[in-house]
Amino acid sequence: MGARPLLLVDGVVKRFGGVMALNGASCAVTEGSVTGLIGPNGSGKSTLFACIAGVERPDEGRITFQGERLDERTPSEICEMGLARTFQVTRLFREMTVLENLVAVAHGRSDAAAVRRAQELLEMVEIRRLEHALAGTLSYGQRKLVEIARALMFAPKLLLLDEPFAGINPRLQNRILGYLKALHEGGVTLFLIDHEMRILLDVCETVLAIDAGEVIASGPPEEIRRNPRVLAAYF
Amino acid sequence: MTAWILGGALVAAAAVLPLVTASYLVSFTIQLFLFVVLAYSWNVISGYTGYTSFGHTSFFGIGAYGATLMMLHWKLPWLLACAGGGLLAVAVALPLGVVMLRLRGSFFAIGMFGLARVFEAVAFGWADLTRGGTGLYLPPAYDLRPLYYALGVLALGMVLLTWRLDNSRFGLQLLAIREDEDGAEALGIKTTRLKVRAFVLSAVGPGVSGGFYAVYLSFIDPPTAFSPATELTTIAMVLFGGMGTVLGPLVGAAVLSVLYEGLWARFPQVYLGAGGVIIAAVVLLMPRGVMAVAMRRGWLPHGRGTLRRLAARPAAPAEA
Repeated sequence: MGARPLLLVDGVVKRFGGVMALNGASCAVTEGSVTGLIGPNGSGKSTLFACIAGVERPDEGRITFQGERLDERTPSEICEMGLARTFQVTRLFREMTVLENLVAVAHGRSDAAAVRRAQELLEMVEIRRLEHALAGTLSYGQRKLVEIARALMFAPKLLLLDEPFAGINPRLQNRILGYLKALHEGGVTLFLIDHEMRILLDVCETVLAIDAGEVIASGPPEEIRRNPRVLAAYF
Repeated sequence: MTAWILGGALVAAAAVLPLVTASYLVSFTIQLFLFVVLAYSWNVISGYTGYTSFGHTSFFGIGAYGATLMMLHWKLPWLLACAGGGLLAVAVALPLGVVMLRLRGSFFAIGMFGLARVFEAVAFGWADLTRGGTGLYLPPAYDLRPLYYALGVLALGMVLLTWRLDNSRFGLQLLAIREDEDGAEALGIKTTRLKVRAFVLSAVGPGVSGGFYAVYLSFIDPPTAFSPATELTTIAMVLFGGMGTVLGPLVGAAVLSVLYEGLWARFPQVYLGAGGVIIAAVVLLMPRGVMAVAMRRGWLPHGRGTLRRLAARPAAPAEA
């Protein structure tokens, strides 16, 4: 597993009106790694994810995935390249069942194959019994699990997770942690935003710290936790 | 299973109706078929996709004028001319969809309403072609039965198409757009392409049936072709029956057609206002329509049965 960068963000600038959300952010995510992204509120974490997923277009800079430019592609092309994501606030289609939520985003498969894949994934996150429940009736934690399963419908190489551990109880946090570790062992590269230092320390090999739209530090989690610039940004 | 038997019986009854009964009922059923087609078409873009259109009479009017002109100038047989009217509506809908679907919510609704008014104004103004407010006349159709069957087949086709849609991934993706378009896009659903496809699909029925309507009346003028009352009635039917459901438009069209017919006969003074009152009442009391109430109470199964059946297949690992 060399140090081949799967995802490369190079000098990305994103402005919203007068606000500089990303100010020349650069970073790399190594293939097969678990990389964490931390930063204070408003530092540009979610904007960076939005740019990577193609929802926002960077004003400057470039993003490459497996050596191919991402920043000129549509979200659906990016999904097809093997990059999937979950949202900070879950975005399930509330009036569809859990199973339908997964099948709706399937690409290219026959309906029967899509259903089977969806069921396997629901099995994996242990919520297969909820497959016919309306997504709008699920608890927040259950919705988080459905989102993870849905993101895996693309069989992604890289999974972007926007605060997968926020707002849920420690038991479910550990459960999700277990699933993520299993995915990682299965070869999926994970790039996740979170504030839970406990979890980042446990699972991440590399942590990137972002502040005011710039990546200010990157390295092993213990190092990042002691980095004076990171401390200054957070406290 | 019972649904198929019931449906078959309904189709059989409709098929023999013109052979056994007087022209009044045939005439009424022609109008019912017409509204079934319009309601199902509107349901595709506004019910499933969530883009509420107040201007789908545009396609009805374009189809009506297109077919009439093809009959008058090219001497095409009426059935072919109506198909031509449908094609014309599709040809207009494609570029229009690309532009209009950039608008969302009320902006789309109002934009579509404005478009229908533009088309109506063009029909008035382009007098060389349309003879403006005088309208165009066709030789009267003495035997309504061919028209009855043509519209009946179209109506049945729309019901079956919607059933297919409801059970397909395309249908699910349209529902995803209705619920959270940005989310759907971020999840890789090709929203623009799907929306335009739904929009064009929803123009076919009005386009073809517009021609049928002109044949039925043997006449077409701008207020008839682009009538806001037709639009409002269609919307009221789908709202009443249930937006984004397979049977909602059918139930809505049947119930409201009978109701309107009764009102028109007995209380002509309130007939026109009834559509507005029904829309207001439905939105307040059962915003998802009769079908949604029936599904919630368990009288009817929820839609999208094909997925459920696929999910129940033993090929998938069992769950404890």
